[in-house]
Amino acid sequence: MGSVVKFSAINTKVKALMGKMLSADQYSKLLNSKDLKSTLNVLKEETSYGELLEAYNLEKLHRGDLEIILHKYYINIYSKLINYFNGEYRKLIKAFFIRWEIEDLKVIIRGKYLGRSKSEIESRLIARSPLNTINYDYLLALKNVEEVVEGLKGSIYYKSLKNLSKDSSAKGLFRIETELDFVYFTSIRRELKHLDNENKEVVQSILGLEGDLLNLGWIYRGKTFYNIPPEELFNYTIYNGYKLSKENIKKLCYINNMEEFNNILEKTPYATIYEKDDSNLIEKREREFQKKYFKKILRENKTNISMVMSYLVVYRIEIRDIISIIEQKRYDMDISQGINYVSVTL
Amino acid sequence: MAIEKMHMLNLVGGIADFDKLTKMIALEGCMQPVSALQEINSSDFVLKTSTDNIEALMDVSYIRPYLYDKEYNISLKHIEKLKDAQKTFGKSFEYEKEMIFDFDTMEKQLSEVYGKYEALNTRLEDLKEKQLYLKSTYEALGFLKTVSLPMEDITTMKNFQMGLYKVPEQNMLKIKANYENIPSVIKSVIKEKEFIIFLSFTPILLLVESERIFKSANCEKIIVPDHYTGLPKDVLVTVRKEMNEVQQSIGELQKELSNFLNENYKTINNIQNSYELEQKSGEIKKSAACTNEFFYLSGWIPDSFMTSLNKLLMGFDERILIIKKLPHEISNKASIPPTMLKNNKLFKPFESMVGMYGVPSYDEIDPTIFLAITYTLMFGAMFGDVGQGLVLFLGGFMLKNKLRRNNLGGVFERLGVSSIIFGFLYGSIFGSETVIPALLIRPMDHINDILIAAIIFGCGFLILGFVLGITNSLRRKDIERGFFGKEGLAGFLFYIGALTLIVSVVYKTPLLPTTIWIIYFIFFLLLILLKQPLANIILGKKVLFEAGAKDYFIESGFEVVETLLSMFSNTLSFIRVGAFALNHVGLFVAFSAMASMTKSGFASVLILILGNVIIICLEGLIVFIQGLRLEYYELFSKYYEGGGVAFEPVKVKLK
Repeated sequence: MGSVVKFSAINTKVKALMGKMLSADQYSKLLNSKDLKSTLNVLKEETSYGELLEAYNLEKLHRGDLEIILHKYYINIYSKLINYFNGEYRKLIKAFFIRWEIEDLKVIIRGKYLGRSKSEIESRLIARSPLNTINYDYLLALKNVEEVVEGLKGSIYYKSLKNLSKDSSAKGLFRIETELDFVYFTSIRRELKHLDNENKEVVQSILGLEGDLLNLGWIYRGKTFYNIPPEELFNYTIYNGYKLSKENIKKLCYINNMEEFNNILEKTPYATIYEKDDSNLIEKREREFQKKYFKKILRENKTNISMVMSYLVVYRIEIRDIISIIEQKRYDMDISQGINYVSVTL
Repeated sequence: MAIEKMHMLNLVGGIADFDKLTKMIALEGCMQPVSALQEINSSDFVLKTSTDNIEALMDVSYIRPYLYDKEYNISLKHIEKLKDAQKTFGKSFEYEKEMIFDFDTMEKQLSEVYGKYEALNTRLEDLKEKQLYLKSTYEALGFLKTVSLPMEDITTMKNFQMGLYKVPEQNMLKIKANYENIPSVIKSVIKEKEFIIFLSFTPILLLVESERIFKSANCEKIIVPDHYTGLPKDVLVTVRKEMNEVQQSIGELQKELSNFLNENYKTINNIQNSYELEQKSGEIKKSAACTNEFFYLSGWIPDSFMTSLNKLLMGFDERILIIKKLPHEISNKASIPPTMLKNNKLFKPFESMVGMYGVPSYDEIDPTIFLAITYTLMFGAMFGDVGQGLVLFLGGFMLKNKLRRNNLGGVFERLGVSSIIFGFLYGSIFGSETVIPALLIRPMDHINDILIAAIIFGCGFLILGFVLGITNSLRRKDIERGFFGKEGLAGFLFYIGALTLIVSVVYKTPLLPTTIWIIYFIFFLLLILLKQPLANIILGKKVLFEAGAKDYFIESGFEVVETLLSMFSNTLSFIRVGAFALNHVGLFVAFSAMASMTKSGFASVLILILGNVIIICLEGLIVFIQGLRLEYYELFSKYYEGGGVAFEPVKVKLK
C-alpha cells in the first residue's frame, strides 16, 4: 500500500513523459533528413522538442549551443521530478542529481585549468538548479584550480579533492575528475541504506549496471589504447557491480589479450557489446543494451523507484542520440555510417 | 478608500549621485522600480525643454540600460564564513548600525577583517590537522611498540621502506582484493569512520611501482618526521607530549579567534549590512537607464512615503530632477500601478485573507474592512462561547507574540473577541449553558428564529455586496457588468424584487398584482440575457455580439438560469451561520451526555475537557473554513476581482 502512495504519481508522470519521446518513425525521419537544417526542422515541427526550440532561431543556432540547450532541458525535467518525492527518496533523487553537478564541476575546474573566462565557462554549464549542493557563482569567481578546490570546502567533494589540486598543474586533471566520479557513486551508496529492500535492490542493480558498463569501457580502453598497468586499472574501477563480480573485474584487469577479455565476458549479459571487434560500434551497442534493459523495466511497470530511474536513463540516451544525429548532419556524415552512432537500427 | 495612492516617479541626475541615491532609496524601502527605458520609450518620461534641462535632454539620445556589473560573489562567501565563525566562536552584541556606501571601502574593510580572520583560522586548521596527524602516528607507532629496535633503524632500512598511508575506506577494499599483486606488506592500523590508515613495508626495488598503485587508490602518505628517534615506545611518549602541546595551542587559538570576532562584531555586521544594501541597490540599478553622464530611474512610490523621499532628495541639493505623475496621467497602459493596502490596526490582519483570494487592483475598492466586519460577525455567531472564545483569543495572542505570526495571530484575536461577545449573547461558557444568563437568545430553544435571522443577515450582506460590486463596475466604466450583469443593477433589482415578493407573501399583504410581478422579473432577466448587445448599443459600438450571436445566446441563456439558481442558493447558504450556532451547542450536548453517563467525577471532567478541545479544534476549523467560503464564494464573487499587483518595494532587511 505504501508503495502505491509513494510511486503512483511519479509513475503516471513517467508514462506521460514517455509519450513525448521520439518514436521509431521520428528517429528514421531525423536520420534520413538530408542536412542539418532539415533535421532541425523535423525536430522543431514534428517532435515534442518543438516546445523547447520555439524560442530559438534555428538558422543562427550553433550546434554546440544546441547541445547545451538539450542538456539543460534534460536537467529541467529532472529537477521537476524531485517534487514527486519526499523523505529518503527525495534524498536519493538528489544524490543521483550529483552526477550532473559533477559534470558542471568538471567543466568549471577544466575551464579554470585552461584559463578560460568566467562567461565562457558559464555558457557551458548545464546543471544549475535548485538541487545544487555547491555555489556556482562563488566557484566561477575564483581564479584557478587550487582556489576552486579550496572553495569546495564544506561540500561533499572537498575531502576527495584536497590532496589532488597541488599535482594538477603537473599531472593534469585525470585524478580530480575520477575522484569526482567516485563521489557520485559513494553518495548514492550512502543513501541506499535508508531504502526498503525492494527499492534498494532496484537502485543497486541500476547503479551496478552503470558501474559495470563504465568499468568495461575503462578496462577495454586501458588495455587496447593506453596500456595502463593492471593494478592501476583495478584501482580505478567502481566496485559493487551488477553482473560482474569483483573477481571477474580483477581477471579482466590482468588479461593478456582481447580474446581473454571476450572469454570472461562470455557468460555475462555484456558479451554482445564487445563481441565484434569493431571499437566504433561499442558505444552504439552499449546504448542499445541499456535501452533494451531499461525499456523492459518500463514495460513491467512496477510501483517502485525503477520506473523513474529507467526513464531517466532511457531519456538520457535519447538526448545523446539527438546530439549524435545533429553532429552527423553538421559534418555531412552518410546515414549508413551515421546509424552506427545512435541507439536505433533502421 | 483604503488603497494607497501611488505616484510614478521619474528621477534624472548625474551618474555620480546614482549609487548614493539608489542606496538611500533601498534603505527607505519605498520604491518599486520599473524599467526606466520602457518609461522613456512610452513617453511618460518627458523632460520640459528649458535651459536647466538642456544637458539632460541632449544626453537622452545616447540612452541605454544601466549595466550593473559589480562582482562580489567571493566577498559574499567571505562574509558567510565570518558569520559562521561568529556563530561558532563569538557572542552577539548590540551594535550601532553604520552603512558603508562606497563599494571600494566596503571591499577594503572586508578584505582587512577577513585577512586577519583567515590568518587565525588557517593556523587553527593547521593545528587541527596536526592533531589528527599526530593521533594517527601515535596509533601507528603503537603497533610497533613491542619492536626493540630504534626508530631510525626502522625508517632507514637498507632494502625495505616503511610507509604510513591514509586511504578512503572503499579504496582499501580494492587494495585488499588485489593483495597478491601489490609488492608490499600491508597492515591496517587504524579504522576510522571513512578512512583507514595502514602501514606498509616495501622492498626498495619495487618502491616506484607500489607508490603508483597507492596513488591510484588515492592514498595519502603520512610522513614520519626524522626527530622521532629511539625505541618506538619512547617515541610514543614524545608524540603524546606533542599531542598535548597541540591541544593546548588549539585552545589558546580558539580563544584568540573568539576575541577577534567579538572585537570586530560591529565591523563585520556593518559590512554584511552594507553588502546587503549593495545587492538591493543593484536591484534598483538594474531597472535604470543611463548615459555617460546621467541616470534615469523610474518607480512607483506610495503617497505616504513622499515626504520622506522628498527629504531624502533634498540631501542632493537639487541635483536630481523629479517628474511626478499620478496613475491616471500615465499614457503607457502597460504599466499597472501596484496596490498597497492601507488599513487601520483593527482591520490590518484581515488583509492576508483578502490576499489569499487576490490583491485588489489599483482602482478597485479594498474589501478588507467589509470582509473583516462580516467575517468576525459570522464567526462569532457560529462559534459563540465565552470560554472557547477566550482560548482562541489567547491562542492568537501567543501566535502573534511568540511565533511572530502577526496576521494569523491578529485574526484569531479578533475572532476570539467576537466569539466572547456572542458567548455572552447566547449565555454559553465552555459549552455550558447553565452558568451565565443569555443576554439575547438561547439558540437551541429558538431554532427557527436563529435560522431565519441567519438568512436575514445573509440577505443584508448580499445586498451590501451588490452595492459594492456595482460601484466597482461603474468605477471601471464597465457598463455591461455594472448595469446589466447578474452582479450589476439588473441582478440587484431582480433580487430586491424577489425578496419583497417573498416578504409580502409571508405576511399575506400583496403589494402588486401578479402580472406586474411577472413582467418585472421577466424584464430584468431579459436585461441580463441581452447585457452585451445593450451595453454595446449604449457605448455606440458597431458589433452587437463580440463572439457571434449563436454562441452568445447559448452562454447567456445558461447564465440566466444560473442567476436564478445562484441567488436562491447564495441566500440559503447563509443558513449555515445559524446551523453552526446550533451545531456548536449540539456537539457540547453530546459530550456532556457522555460525561454524565460515566460514574466517576474524574472521568466526566476529563470527557468535558476533551470535548472542549475537540470542539475548539474541529469546529473552530470548520467554522473558520465555512465563514471563508461564504466570504469568497457568496460575497467576493459579487463585487471583487482581485486582479491587482501587490506593491513590493526594494527594501533592505538589516540584520
